[in-house]
Amino acid sequence: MTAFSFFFFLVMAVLIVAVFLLVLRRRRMAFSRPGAFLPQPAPYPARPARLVEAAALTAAAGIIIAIAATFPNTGGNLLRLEQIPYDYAAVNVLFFACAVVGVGVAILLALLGRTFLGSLTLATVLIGYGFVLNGGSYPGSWFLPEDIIKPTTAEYTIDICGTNVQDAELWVNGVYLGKTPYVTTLEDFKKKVPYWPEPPKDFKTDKANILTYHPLGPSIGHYQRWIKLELPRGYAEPSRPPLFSSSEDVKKFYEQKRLAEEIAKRYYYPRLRYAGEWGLSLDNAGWGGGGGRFAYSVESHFTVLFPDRQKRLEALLNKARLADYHVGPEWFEALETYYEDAWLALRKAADDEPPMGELLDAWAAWHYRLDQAVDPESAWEVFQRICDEAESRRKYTTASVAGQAVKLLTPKLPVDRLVDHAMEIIRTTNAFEPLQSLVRGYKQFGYCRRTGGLYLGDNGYLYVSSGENVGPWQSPYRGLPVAQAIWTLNQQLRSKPTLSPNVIQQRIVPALICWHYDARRPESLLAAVSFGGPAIDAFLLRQKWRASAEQLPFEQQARISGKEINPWLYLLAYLNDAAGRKFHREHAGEIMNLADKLHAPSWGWERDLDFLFADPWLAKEYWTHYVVKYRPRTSGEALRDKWNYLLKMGDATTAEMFVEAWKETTIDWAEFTYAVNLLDQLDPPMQKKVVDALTYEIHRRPLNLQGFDDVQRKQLVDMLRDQGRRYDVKQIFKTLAREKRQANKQLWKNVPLWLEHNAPDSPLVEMLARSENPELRAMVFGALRSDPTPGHRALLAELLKDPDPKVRAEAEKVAAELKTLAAAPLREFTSDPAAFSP
Amino acid sequence: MPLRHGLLRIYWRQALPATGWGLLSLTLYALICPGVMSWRDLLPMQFIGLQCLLLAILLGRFNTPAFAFLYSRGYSRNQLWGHLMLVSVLSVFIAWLPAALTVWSGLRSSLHDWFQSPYFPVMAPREALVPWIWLGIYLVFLPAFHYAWIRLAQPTRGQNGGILAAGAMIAALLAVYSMNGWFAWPCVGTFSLMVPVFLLGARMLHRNLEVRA
Repeated sequence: MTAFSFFFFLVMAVLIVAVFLLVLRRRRMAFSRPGAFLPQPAPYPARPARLVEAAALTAAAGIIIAIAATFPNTGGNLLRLEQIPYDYAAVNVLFFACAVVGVGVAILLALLGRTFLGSLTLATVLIGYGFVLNGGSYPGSWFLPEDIIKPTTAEYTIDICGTNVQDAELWVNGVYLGKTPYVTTLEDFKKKVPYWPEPPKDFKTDKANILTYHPLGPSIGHYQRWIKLELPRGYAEPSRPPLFSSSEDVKKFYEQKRLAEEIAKRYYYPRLRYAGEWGLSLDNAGWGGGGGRFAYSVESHFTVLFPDRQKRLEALLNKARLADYHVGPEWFEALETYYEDAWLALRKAADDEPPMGELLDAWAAWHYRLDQAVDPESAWEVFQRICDEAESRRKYTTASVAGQAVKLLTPKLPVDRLVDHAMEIIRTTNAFEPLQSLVRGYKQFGYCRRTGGLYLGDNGYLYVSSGENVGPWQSPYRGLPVAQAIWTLNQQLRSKPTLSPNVIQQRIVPALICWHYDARRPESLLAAVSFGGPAIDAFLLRQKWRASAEQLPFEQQARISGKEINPWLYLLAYLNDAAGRKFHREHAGEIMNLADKLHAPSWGWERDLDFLFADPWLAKEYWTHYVVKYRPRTSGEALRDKWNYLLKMGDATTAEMFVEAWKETTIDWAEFTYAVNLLDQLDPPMQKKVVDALTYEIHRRPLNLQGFDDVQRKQLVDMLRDQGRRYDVKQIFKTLAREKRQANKQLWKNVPLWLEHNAPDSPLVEMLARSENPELRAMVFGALRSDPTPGHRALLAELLKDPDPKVRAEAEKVAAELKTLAAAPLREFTSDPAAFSP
Repeated sequence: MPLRHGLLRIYWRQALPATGWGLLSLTLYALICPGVMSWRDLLPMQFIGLQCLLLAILLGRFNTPAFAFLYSRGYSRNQLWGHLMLVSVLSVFIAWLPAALTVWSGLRSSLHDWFQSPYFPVMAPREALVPWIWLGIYLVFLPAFHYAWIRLAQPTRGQNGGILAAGAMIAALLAVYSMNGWFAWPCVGTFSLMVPVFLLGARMLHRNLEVRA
């Protein structure tokens, strides 16, 4: 039906109503005519009656029509007209106007004393309006022409992930588009960027090799400068033609569908440049999309590295090392040009270099002027500034410099005020769900809606896919620093066992239960179970935690990774207080059954079983069960899964457990090759124990190595020993000291490179620098240059007085280089030196 | 307007079944409802609706001799109207206040805590708003229902106009119940406007009410 037909029917409807009214009027006149055989009807209602009834119909119609016209789930589009095609928006306004006119007629009838007729008209109009809005797959779908409802635009964002760089220059298929994050529409993108049926000629050759050094040789990573990009799909079109379509329409539908699929399969070839450096691609471009038919947005992201930028950042850290970590505001300004990469680098360095942690504190103190926080009142003001900043930047993570500032501020904050503020946020926010991932050991309360997520270095990405549109509720951003402060306060309070229940358990936990209770989403109460306390104990222990999911009422049937579970048992398994631990010991069987139900050999199983690791006793109890029953000896990633489980157990794990896991698995060559890398995560003494025990087992020709001949078994042992030796620096030192250069060329060649590029903080540096052999002493200069910590500079000072002239000369060269670095202006070490303005 | 105790007593006696129903149903509901009460619960809305309906039926039997007798005792129409509304409001408060106090005083919470309900006392703050919503429903229903019977007793055409107007209010209230979001507040404003409209209209029409006994 065309728009013309629609108007035709509308006019006809108005005419019919008008004729009907005229007939009624005529009838009334006939009855009242003198001499008519029927008595005159009763008088019309009094004016108050007419006014009241018209007002009642107006109020009811106003409420119902406003709901229908504005709420998306009733087909209402009036509040998002700017997001829908212009013509379709006009039609929606027309529908609404027609409904308003209909309501007006109804009110007029009521005002004329015809309330029954008015109510009838009103009901017809409202039902009709509702039917027009909801009678098809979208408002008006059953009579509007198809073209009018097709989305003309889908917002399209292209951004980098893998490096926290902003304003990188983006080219796609040779066309310069702008700086990242680049926002356009899919249609404009297709218009602006020509399609290349073939990849560019240098697609495979324009690449860089990045070496990762090991004592026995480097591994090479190949990175292309061209990125291969598949365009995101637009709004999901129906897979079938509409019902009652003519054969021609069906043919046209499938032709359009084929064309759309063909276009979707095309590849585009972006390149990115930042500060004059072409980015290197990790070949993992991804895309996503979301929204409705008319407000659809899509995004593409790709992991890109800028090695020179990374080197500048490392040099900037070296300048701090050379200044004995006493840096001024200019250094912090330079550091801030690296955005999230700055604090990620500092946190990473701080793992083995505590002064870098102090530098992070100093940066937080400088940026947020923590020196002003001298009493609870001033501390609260600074804290509010951090909350405001989170709100205005629309992102926050605990591990960031802002998070560090909150950590430093929390002991100074007035506890009652903080708790009151948190209670208010808990009560008024419905999107507040703390993310409890770990970043370098820090619990995260983070939120960011950046395309592709916020890059968190080794810890992956911070994604939040929902919760932005929180309506009248408070936005979640400013709640995150508060959540972190409460979390930090909880840790402080729980370290004092005399204060139990503490203020958080007494006030925050009941508020979390009260305002965020939703049995179908047990994750919403994970923060409360982490805090513990009598309120959450009683709340959970009184529930029907023994029942199976099917026995619970519908509103209590929760799903975790697609499996229906009893949410109460799930939360009790997480409960982190004395009552929780008691429950774990008394009802370990039920928790094991829950773990059995949730465990599946699939990605993410570790997250689903996190509750086991909340209590090490529970993880250890489940281990015997897990190792035998739930990892079939032949499954693909059996050994990796078991060893991952043991790694998550942390200190509670033993070398014997690693061996037990190995014995319970039928070893497959490829699986072993992958799994052996996991042993890197163990600390050296534990790693050695595991390697020795596994070597012993391999020599015993166990049943799980059936099919392996002697040569292959020896290769397994070599792989393990290589693993062990990689970190056994004493062993490396002994080998180097014992064997001549000619005897072990590989080791002699690769150890200096490994120390310089990948392990400058290794204790081997000091061993070699103080060895008697000048050739060994000469191996450390790369490491001293790339990591000039005070300790390394002390070694360099010793080497400057070395009796061997060659060593001395090399030391002088390194000292001169470090002097040059210390004197170099900071601008050279900013993220983009050309764009830097202090 | 002077208070006529006799008239008040007559109305009060007539309204007793409605008051009793409201008191028992709402207070018992507030006391024993096992889950966490929400403003969206339809059961208390039905209790309240029934009480208001009973009040309108019991006080508005305009075609009975008792009604005719009362209206021929020399009271002005405004006096009758005022006392009728006063008794209605008393009836509402007698039903609503104990139920509200059961919630607000912590009695409900303590009782359920004693019965080992997992939700109490921790969920008590979440229910604090609920009695106010009940009062709001009374405010919407009571004037509309009284208007309905007064309109029915008018010697004019379209006597069912009051019933239709009250029906429209119920429909609008149910529509508000079925949705979330900021729009609830403008709706509260609209309903608040309708309360005086119904009351004023009913008072004015009451003066022309036709006693048909």
